[in-house]
Amino acid sequence: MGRRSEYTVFNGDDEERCWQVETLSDGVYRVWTPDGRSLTVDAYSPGEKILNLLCEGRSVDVGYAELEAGLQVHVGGESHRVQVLNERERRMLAAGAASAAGKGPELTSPMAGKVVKIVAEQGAAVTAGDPLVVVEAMKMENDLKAHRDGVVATIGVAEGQAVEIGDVLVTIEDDPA
Amino acid sequence: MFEKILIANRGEIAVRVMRSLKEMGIETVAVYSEADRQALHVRMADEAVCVGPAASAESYLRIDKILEAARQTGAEAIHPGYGFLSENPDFARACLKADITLIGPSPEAMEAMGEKTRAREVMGGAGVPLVPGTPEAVSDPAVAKEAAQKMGFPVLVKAAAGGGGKGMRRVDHADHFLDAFEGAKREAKSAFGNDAVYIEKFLVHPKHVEIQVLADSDGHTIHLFERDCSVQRRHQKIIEETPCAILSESVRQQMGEVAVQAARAVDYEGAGTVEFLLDADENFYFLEMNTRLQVEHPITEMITGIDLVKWQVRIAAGQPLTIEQDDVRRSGASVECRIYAEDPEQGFRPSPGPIFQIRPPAGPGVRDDAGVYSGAEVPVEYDPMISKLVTWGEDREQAVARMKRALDEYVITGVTTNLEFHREILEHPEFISGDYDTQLVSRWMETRQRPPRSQGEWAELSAVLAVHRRDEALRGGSAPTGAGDKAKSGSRWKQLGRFRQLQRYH
Repeated sequence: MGRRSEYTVFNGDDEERCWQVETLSDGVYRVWTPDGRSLTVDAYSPGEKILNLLCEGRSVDVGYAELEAGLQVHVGGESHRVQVLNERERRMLAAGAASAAGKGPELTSPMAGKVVKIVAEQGAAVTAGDPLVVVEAMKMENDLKAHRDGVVATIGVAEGQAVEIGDVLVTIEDDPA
Repeated sequence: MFEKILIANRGEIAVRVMRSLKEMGIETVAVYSEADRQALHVRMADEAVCVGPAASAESYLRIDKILEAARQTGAEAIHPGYGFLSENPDFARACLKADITLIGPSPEAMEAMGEKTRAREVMGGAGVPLVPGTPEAVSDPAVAKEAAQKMGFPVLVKAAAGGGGKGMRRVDHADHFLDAFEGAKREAKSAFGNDAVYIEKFLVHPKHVEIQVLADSDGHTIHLFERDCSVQRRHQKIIEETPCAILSESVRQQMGEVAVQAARAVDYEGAGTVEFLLDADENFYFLEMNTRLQVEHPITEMITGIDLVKWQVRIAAGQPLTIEQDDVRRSGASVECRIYAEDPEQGFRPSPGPIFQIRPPAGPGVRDDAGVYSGAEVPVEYDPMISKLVTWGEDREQAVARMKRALDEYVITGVTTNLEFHREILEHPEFISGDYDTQLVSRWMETRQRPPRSQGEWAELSAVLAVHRRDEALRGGSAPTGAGDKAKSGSRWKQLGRFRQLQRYH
């Protein structure tokens, strides 16, 4: 019935894996796994973002959510982050893949909250793991630590300031010495 | 009996309290902040009143607004839940003045137990054993440090008005004392508006074991046995169980008696909890008394069959506690796991946000006290607890096996949760033995390797099929849904577009 579609998958590590799917009939698929096995899967959706798969005699019930960074898949008591690119998305990624590798200088806030203390001093040498900024979120203080070695180049926030997820707190440049 | 009660709280505890009230035929009034318009407790209540903006200090902590909401709706009593105003004597007094019954102890009992330094004084006087510590709050860092050195490290710096692990720091070495002292004061100030802290000797390998008490206005006081709350992260409990697996029967009885004695010493009324530290030799020391319902109260309800909220309400209405100590029977074992929107792999960092779907477990011996629903948000402003998952079993082994089953059954997507982490703890050899202390999690996190996960391939397969089906649905026609599926997914606008293309619709 369908053609074979190819999907590139990332599941929490750097390895990318290729899956292929062909629709056999409504809700029934032939799937080729990254290691070359071929499976027949009967997929049924009992509700929004819920899938029940019958595959090789096994019944697998799955809840998932589409988040910005890919899919969150809840299966068998485990929650996995899986990024799936279809062929078009894969080509777009390849085209834009010229972006720089490695860790940039910016330490961003992983949470929304309030800066209660700045430990970092401009110009000070730091090593990865040193606490730099204390952000209070939900009444708990969180030590935000240097993500790399280097020298504190700029401090982008002040004590008492509210921060959002992704706000640059501190930048750490390579130590010129 | 009251006809209408206002619940001055939010989230799962507000929902839990309402459930008992509904069973008693009492009307319920919710209060909510602007951030909580969509919260479950608002949906469950008979009436709901907005009490201000998202920040707790401007809504859930505003005594005037809460009382105004009670007056406006004609509520005769207020249940404070836990946290927020539940242990605030000013609130208790304001209720008295407004002629509204606060479901809880007297302001005097709250004061005696709320300030930890005073509580120690009162308890010491009543013959309750105490852990070494500063007799009162210390503000001078130098004096505090000297006191700490005198009792010997490690010590705890604790907020005098504290609770829930906020404003509490462990210090292992004199060099780190001043930083921790200041940090605890800052946290105490922001969480409780009071930066008084005191210093206490930190016991090595202690268990946190607490006793539930119930007392009526005539002073009839009973205990409902213990809860072992030693599984903690960042000084906050995450798993509680009853009975405590290693407690001998004679010490259990002693602790119960001492807890009753402690409650009587402050003329306690209602439900309360006396917390103890239990050391390896089964010596126990008074830690604090919580003059309110506890998060982990359901496990006591599970093994005793007693609805604590119902008794709180009855006692507040002036009814006598008709249960005698000898009538209280324990049956089986119970475990509670606190399900949080947090990431154990990132130092238990809160991960608030919208819950995409939540499918709680069910079946024999399972109780899920949740405060959210699919599509609801875990707001950034409040505690990120999603639910209290509780199981009961004929014995500890069955209760724990049920908990593992229930954790596996629980589906929560949209936010990161500690569901898997709970399962790991339940499989930790120290937890299995029952002989674990309050440092179990922090010690273990130093060397913990995340266990290999078995569902990775299913997760990938599911994700691939989800995307494949989405793409097919976008390309044309309705979503493939599988046999027997009635609900077609996809946007109505897209359907309209397709209809128009087919010229069925002009």
